[in-house]
Amino acid sequence: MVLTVGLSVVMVLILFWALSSVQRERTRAAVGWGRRVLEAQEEERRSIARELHDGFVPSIDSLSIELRRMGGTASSERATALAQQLRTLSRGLHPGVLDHLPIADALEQLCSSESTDGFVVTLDVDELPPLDFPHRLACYRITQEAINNARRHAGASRIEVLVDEINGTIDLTIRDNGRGFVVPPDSKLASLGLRSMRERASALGGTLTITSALQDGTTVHARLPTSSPG
Amino acid sequence: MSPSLAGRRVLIADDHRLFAEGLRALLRDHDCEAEIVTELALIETTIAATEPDLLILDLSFGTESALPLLHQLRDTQPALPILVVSASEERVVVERVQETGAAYLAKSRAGADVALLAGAMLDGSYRAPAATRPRAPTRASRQIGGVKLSRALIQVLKLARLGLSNPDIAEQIGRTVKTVEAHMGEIYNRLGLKSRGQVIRWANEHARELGAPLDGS
Repeated sequence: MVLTVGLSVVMVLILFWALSSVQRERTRAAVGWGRRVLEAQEEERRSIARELHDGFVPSIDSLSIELRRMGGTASSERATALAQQLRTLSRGLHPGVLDHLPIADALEQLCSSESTDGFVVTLDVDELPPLDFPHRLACYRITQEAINNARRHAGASRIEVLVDEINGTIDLTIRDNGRGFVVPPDSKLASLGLRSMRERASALGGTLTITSALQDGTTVHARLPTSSPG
Repeated sequence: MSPSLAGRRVLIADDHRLFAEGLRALLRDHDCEAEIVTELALIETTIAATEPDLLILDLSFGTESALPLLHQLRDTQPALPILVVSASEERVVVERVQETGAAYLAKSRAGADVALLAGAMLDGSYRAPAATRPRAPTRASRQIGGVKLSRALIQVLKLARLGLSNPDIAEQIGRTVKTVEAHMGEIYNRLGLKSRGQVIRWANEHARELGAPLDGS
């Protein structure tokens, strides 16, 4: 009798262990898959943006110069306008500032371009160490997504972006004064935007937490170690 | 026709040959000869070899940025006027270019304005535009008692001085306890102190410089 009960307990424990390890494996696979999709999407956007920005657009600019030299000022202006439209499209796909500037400058550009009369985005950033491209991109995209959410869904009028580096970790906080929401548990994060913010942080071995309460604003807090996991 | 361009030598550094050729043709209309270099790595040697009166420089060379080179040229070629003609028109990029003393022209305006601007740079009549818009975001770190402290560290320090615990400080400034702990660790490091008591004593000694606890800076 005792033996049968003992055996059953062991069997149940083994079954439980097997099931939970399958679950863990699935979660790990899903995270890895999400990360790869995100990276592939970023890479594709970057390459299309570059094709436009460094290929088509300067060709149209040179056509515009040629037209101007031939006396076709109006046609030249039309070609220039077309080039500008393509540049805007390219910037939407990939933020070119990240290619030229340190992250503090790129965030300054982002925050000031997002600020409008009824929507103030302030940035508080101190000197940061030089970051590699994946870290710059993650900081930029997480901030951009949080600002978008605050504008579109939270009805916020004020956003603060705070960036620090302490002991080799980038500490990024985006806080809004919007209407807030009830944050679902991790596994039920339906919004692609919220999920992708978290994916970006975890791809760099970091964490991202979202704290919010109804009528009390939302805070997105990312911690990104600057030495990536091996 | 810009008289100050006639007979002058210009070097155009742009990895898009068609665009560079366009600029060259435009300058030629003003009797100005231009060389073209399309590789970032060859710009400095080409400057040395051709000794141009003016450099027209693009900022994007494939995946590489020419901004570091621009900084370098300020030291190695202080007398060479540089006109950056770039498709990166973001305000911060323009400011960073102008901070080096170079002039900036958006690629979209190159056809209309390059001869005028290059001419003005060559005859010395070019004046850098004054900054027109104040910077929207704030960036603040201050020297207090000879130690450089960021705005966030100062905020934590001021609240610690009032006797608040880390969780209370976290609550007050809307950040996590973990962040406040990290900030306190950084404060210990920078001040070279070992205990909270010592930190609070230091903060009391520098209370005037730190400012009021809730003034946000």
